[in-house]
Amino acid sequence: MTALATLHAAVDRHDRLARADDAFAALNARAGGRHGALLAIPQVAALARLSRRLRILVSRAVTIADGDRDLDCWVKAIPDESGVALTVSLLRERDAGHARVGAATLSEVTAPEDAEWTWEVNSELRVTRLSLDTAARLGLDPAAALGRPLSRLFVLESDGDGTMPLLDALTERRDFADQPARLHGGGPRMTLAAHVRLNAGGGFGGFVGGAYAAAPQPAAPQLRPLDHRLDTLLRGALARIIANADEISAAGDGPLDSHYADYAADIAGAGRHLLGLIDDLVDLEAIERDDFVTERAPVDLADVARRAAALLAPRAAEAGVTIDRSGCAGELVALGEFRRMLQVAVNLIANAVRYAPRDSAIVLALRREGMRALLTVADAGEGIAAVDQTRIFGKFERVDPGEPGGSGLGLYIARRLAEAMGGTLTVDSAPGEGARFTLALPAG
Amino acid sequence: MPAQPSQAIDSDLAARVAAQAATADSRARARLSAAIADVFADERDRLDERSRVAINRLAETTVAAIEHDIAGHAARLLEARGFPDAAALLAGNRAMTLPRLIESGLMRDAEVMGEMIAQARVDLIDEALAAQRAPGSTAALLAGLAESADGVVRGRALTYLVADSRRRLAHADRRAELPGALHERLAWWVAAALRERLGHGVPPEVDRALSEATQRSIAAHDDGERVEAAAVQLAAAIDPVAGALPQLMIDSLEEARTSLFVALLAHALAIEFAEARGLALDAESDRLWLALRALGIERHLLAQIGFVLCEADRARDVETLPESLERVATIAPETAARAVAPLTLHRDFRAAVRALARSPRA
Repeated sequence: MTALATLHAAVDRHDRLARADDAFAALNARAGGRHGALLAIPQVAALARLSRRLRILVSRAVTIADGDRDLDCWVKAIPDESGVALTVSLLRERDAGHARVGAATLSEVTAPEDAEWTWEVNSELRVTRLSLDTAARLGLDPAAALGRPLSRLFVLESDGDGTMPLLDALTERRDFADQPARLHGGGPRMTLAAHVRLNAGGGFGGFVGGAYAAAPQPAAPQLRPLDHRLDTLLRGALARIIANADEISAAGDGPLDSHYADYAADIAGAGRHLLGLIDDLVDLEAIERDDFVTERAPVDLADVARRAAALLAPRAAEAGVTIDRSGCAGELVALGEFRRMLQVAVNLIANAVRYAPRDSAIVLALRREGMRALLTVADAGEGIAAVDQTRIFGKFERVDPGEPGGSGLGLYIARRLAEAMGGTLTVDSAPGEGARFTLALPAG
Repeated sequence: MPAQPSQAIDSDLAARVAAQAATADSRARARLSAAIADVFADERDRLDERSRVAINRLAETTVAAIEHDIAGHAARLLEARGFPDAAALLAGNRAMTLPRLIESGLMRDAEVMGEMIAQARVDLIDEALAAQRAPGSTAALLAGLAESADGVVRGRALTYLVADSRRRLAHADRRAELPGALHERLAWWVAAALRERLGHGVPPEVDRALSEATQRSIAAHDDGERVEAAAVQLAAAIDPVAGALPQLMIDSLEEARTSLFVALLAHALAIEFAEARGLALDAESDRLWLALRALGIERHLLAQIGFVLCEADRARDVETLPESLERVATIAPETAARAVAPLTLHRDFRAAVRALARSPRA
């Protein structure tokens, strides 16, 4: 890193600017100060005062606003007989308002995801951290690596283009991936990836890295299928689209050609469908993670069924279908997470509403069988052929592939949730005889 | 004939509405008293958001790790002994017990939480120390010690590096390193909470499995592996002469090894690590400066240590440091030593003195 410039100045015992080089004088003048007056750059003035009072050299990272530029600096204040001498090293300048590079230092820097094991080095590329269990497994002596240069741990190799991703990243203070390496003293080939850590001045402060088994396709840091920023972004946009389309469709701003109102209703409908799909994808991402867990609290499954039925009552009424809840009067305690149970129940009943013929009933039934609490949702639809009964629980599968709407994730997610709660989700059906979906959970 | 809305459902609904109203009412009262406590809390006693998050996270991961060990082992025992249902319930779940330990008030234990809070604060100070290092500066203290010609220092420096590396795992894997007695206390709490989650009428075999698994977790805990033990050992091995101590302390801080700083302080004052850490984390009083003064450390070195620490610890205000130093620097080391002398007393005696001081004489 080359310093852009170093500015020098000194203040007297009353914190007034006693001397300054041209660059500092100009910077101070642009902030409204002048020779002989108090320093006009507040952060530098504060440090000068502190140094005078502590009577020692003090230094810290400071950002100085200079017109429409922000200057990231490292300021040193050294007290002497006549006052305080100041050195301002410009580390970088950037447009005002742009996040300071060094801001990343205080937030947590984590190793790339899915690494087999992790390591960290400081600004001198000395190893400061190592996942110890792996070290033991690889026959590595952590004591031989910790505190030592990274080159004592890994032998870095150039990649296909003859470059060293780690070295490039070091110069440019950025993350890297796909750095081929071997363990020092032999061992299998591997690939390294790391996130950069910056110091207070925005300079290179080290890497937080991971090691991956070298595969034909080196495992670079992976993006999660739907990270929450994307989630928020999409939801926000869709919510606006739906709200505007609903507004148009309701003709709130005055009379509207009925075609346009219908288009708007279609747009809102499509928006809701996409929102539902995002919900499903977020769930999918969550349940497919290794560390996905559900709570296991005693929950009244009958209450869950009643609530789910109540939620879907309007949709059932629209479809001309009744939901028979007479089987959910009592209490049946199951172990699991209320929210997830409700999600499964809503999914099952919504499916039933979708496939039940007009004027038929969907019957909810509850019973306890040994150590299990069961909720059954039965419809009088066309039923599902035996060959399809496994398929419908697959990812992106539908009960009726020709039928529009739905993401094809509902039953897949419902079954995974049931399993996560220590239960099962099964179907019992034959063509022409409707379908019975049964959620079985550990009884409480 | 479609079923009529049964009376059972109605009365059930009424009971639930009443219960919900009662819960909401008591929640509202609890919220109000928390709000009142918050309004009148002394600004100096209040945690900043970052510390709160760090402490919560550490408590969460620590309890979850103990729970994982106990539930996992108990599940294996029960599986082998023919209780697959209880085994599945224990094996399939994680993070069940902390909410219960919080709700029951057990987590308010001053010793357990005091330890977690102290360790979380040390973590935050270490992070800040690493982040505020001057551009281009090098951190060579530990690297140097690890290559020391003195075999004892070299060995203990390496042990410390390994322990510190374990302590500084990524936040998701990091857990508090509790002293044995506190680990034991927490382990039994977790076992009790797990037992409760299994419902009424737990068969004796389940109790036995939980008990065996807990004893196993307690037995596996090794106080000597904790970073503070390694730091204490290293400080004792270095056994710095008085003249070398201040620079070693400054170097430890600049290298973001607060635990070594604390161990050096403890060694020099001949007090326990926890007491020295208490001094280092006490941002309110001049006790740390007094302790350093008791060691005969000169004002300019005191100022250097103070500046680095104040910059890294958000609980400290660097602007008040110069006045504190003025006050302390005029005190003779012998006088300052008297202020920290009680810390050198026997641990139980100290605890008794403090306990007595909490209830004023009639």
